[in-house]
Amino acid sequence: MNLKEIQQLIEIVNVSSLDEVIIKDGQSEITLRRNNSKAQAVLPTAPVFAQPVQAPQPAVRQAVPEQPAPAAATDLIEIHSPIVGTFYRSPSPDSLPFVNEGDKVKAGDVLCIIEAMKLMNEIESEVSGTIVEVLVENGQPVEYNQALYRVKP
Amino acid sequence: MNPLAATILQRLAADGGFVSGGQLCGELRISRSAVWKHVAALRKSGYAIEAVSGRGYRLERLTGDPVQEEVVPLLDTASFGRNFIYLASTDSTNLRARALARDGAPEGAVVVADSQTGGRGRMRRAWVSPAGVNLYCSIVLRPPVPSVRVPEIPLVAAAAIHGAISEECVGLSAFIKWPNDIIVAGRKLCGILCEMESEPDCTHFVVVGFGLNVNLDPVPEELQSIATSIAIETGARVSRARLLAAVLNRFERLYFEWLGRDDLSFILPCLEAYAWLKGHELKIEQFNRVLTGTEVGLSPQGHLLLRTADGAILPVSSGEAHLLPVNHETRPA
Repeated sequence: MNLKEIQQLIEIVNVSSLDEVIIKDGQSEITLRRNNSKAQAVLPTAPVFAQPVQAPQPAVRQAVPEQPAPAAATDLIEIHSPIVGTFYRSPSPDSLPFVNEGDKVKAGDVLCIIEAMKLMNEIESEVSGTIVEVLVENGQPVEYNQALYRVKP
Repeated sequence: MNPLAATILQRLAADGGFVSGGQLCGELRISRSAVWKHVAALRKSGYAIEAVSGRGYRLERLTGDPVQEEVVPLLDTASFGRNFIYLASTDSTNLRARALARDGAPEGAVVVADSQTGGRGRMRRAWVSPAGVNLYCSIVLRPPVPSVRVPEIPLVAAAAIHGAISEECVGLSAFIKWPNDIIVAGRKLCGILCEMESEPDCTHFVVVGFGLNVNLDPVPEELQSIATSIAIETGARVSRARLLAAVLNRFERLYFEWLGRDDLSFILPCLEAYAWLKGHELKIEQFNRVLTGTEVGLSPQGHLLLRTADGAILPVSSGEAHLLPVNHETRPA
């Protein structure tokens, strides 16, 4: 289940009269529970994520903040590689990088290319924000789900 | 092409003999003069249509251009080519296909161009794309598989295109240069560029684009040492429409089969039998290092297996592979 689907799910539960929804999808399980008590004022009708029971897909783990509290470091969003491959910061060897540290990016902007078996995978930013850190050197091999960039939304 | 003209063309192509004007009028519910007008338009776009008083119209031959009217009747696919866009000229079919895919084009949607002004390969290398002779085509895929499997697609495409070329061009001895170039006599016949757009756990789409040198003859001088065409290798001109239909038919079959499997095992025998690099000493140039060793096969995920000097087997997933010069004499004929 990806972030979009979870958001849709929250919306569905939000407008329903359900207090709790448990979804089991393959190896991941998600519980949405409505907070009906005193928290109402703080979180009007917003459902609250419970921890997934089993190890979920990586994106699900991202989508479910463990603790809302410690702000500074977790403010940054990490962009991960969807495949094993080679990381390229620019569209061709003699052109400028797609982005540098400090650049502002919009959601959907191309950040880099991951190549595997000549399949070129353009990685887009999931969020709008500022590139805080480029975590991989140009031309380096990357693993599945390896963090590539840190973005401050 | 006007839809009525296209219908007339398909009717004539399917029949093969004479179809009377009256019959066409009845089937299309248009007047005799309208039939005549559309036939005149078809002739203008290059179709040799014979008209004999008292017998009707007969299509002498198709142009072989990779247009919908000539390709689609030859398809046996469920989705590949059922959504068909032909452009006389465009910047790059991959760019067009990606734009269509972002707008929701379904799996199997195809963009074909007669010429490209910005034809390109990997790393924005130019692909020479003159009009009237070659195939430039991009196919939209929406594979419902984990993203880690998607890099197997270039090899499925290579197997499909290699198979279609070998079937349509008897006597042509084509090889697959890992991972996805089609090579004849050491020169490139077809290049494939696969591009993917995805989020971490969700593949939006993959565009498989290929440029195939069909009737290009001669190859521009500066490319003669590295590129070739079917016409140059066989001395025969080939219908681009037939060839494209053969590619789409075979690619859909292999792709659907691949979706139901766990890896490329089912086509490894084909990929290995026609491997241009098979068993040879190689140099693989990666971004900032060069690997050398002997090709000893492919992994089920399509990695090239390289035996290095110390005897280790290294699975390689990127880089430009080159035969070491010493082996040129022992290339398969």
